[in-house]
Amino acid sequence: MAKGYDRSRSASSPGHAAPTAQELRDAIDSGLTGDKVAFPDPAASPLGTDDEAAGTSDSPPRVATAFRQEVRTHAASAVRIRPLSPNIQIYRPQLTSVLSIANRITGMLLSVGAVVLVVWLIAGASGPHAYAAVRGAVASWIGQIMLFGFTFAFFLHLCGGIRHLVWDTVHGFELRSIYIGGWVVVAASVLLTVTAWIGSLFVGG
Amino acid sequence: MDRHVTRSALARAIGLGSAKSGFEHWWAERVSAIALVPLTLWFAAVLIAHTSGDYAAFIAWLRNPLAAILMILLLIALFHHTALGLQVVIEDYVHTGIKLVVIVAVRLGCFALATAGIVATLGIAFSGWAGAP
Repeated sequence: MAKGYDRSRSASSPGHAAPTAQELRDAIDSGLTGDKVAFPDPAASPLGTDDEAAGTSDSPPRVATAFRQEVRTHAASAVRIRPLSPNIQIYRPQLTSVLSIANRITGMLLSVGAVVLVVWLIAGASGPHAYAAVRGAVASWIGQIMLFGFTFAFFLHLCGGIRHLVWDTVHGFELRSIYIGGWVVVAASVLLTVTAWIGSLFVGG
Repeated sequence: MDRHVTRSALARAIGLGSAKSGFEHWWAERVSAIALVPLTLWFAAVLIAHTSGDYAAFIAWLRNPLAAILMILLLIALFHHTALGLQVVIEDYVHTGIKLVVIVAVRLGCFALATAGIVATLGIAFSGWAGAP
């Protein structure tokens, strides 16, 4: 938008009932929201970008909520309240953001899996009884459910990590590529998880 | 503090991010990630093949020097990557004074776990070498 944003009109709330996502972006870009926070995850696209590209813009009430959250002014002192970027509470989950946080969650889960790996090795070094105890725990139904979860978390983190490595080569940043890559990660993770378990049933017995 | 003013924009930019550091962390995370791709896939394949393996089969597998070497490499890369990744998560979500304590605890814990895993692997690997036929 070429013309500057009218600050006086929307210091505490949008001057009119239904601001558009474009108006909110302009407010953020013009510094009205106090600051712009550097946010290095390429998977997180700016407000509304994905929705507009998909032809499903955010509803006016949702944008109005986002506007109130972003462009807040302290009632008594007229000091702008710094926004909390990226404001995940008010944005509808989408493939990009869900995969971004999933990469973190699976990473934390796999940290637990790494501890289990060490326990398994120590049990093996300790002797047959300790090894049998760990094997028994893993073979139990709750152990198998956890192992299945670890398998999926592993493949999702692996595929998501490879996607990040591709981004590191400065490729695949177009919105279309990001969505294709995202769905490839999801499909590959499901496929690899199922293949691994079917494979273990057939090969390992 | 005057350095910030007197230096040219280019001089300030070269080699320095907004936080003056971070590249080393980012790079180490990538290098460990690249190492983990083949290592974890190898390990997953081993698990799939050894699902029904009993204790004797497990010991026999780790007595293979190649398996022991790959397992140790996996442990090093895995816990390096884990420490780096968890540090970022902690820095993003923990903002109280306990942050530094948690980061140090995670780092030391990863060192300890990696060492324990390596010693266990070596213990099993060498147990076969002395009296091997």
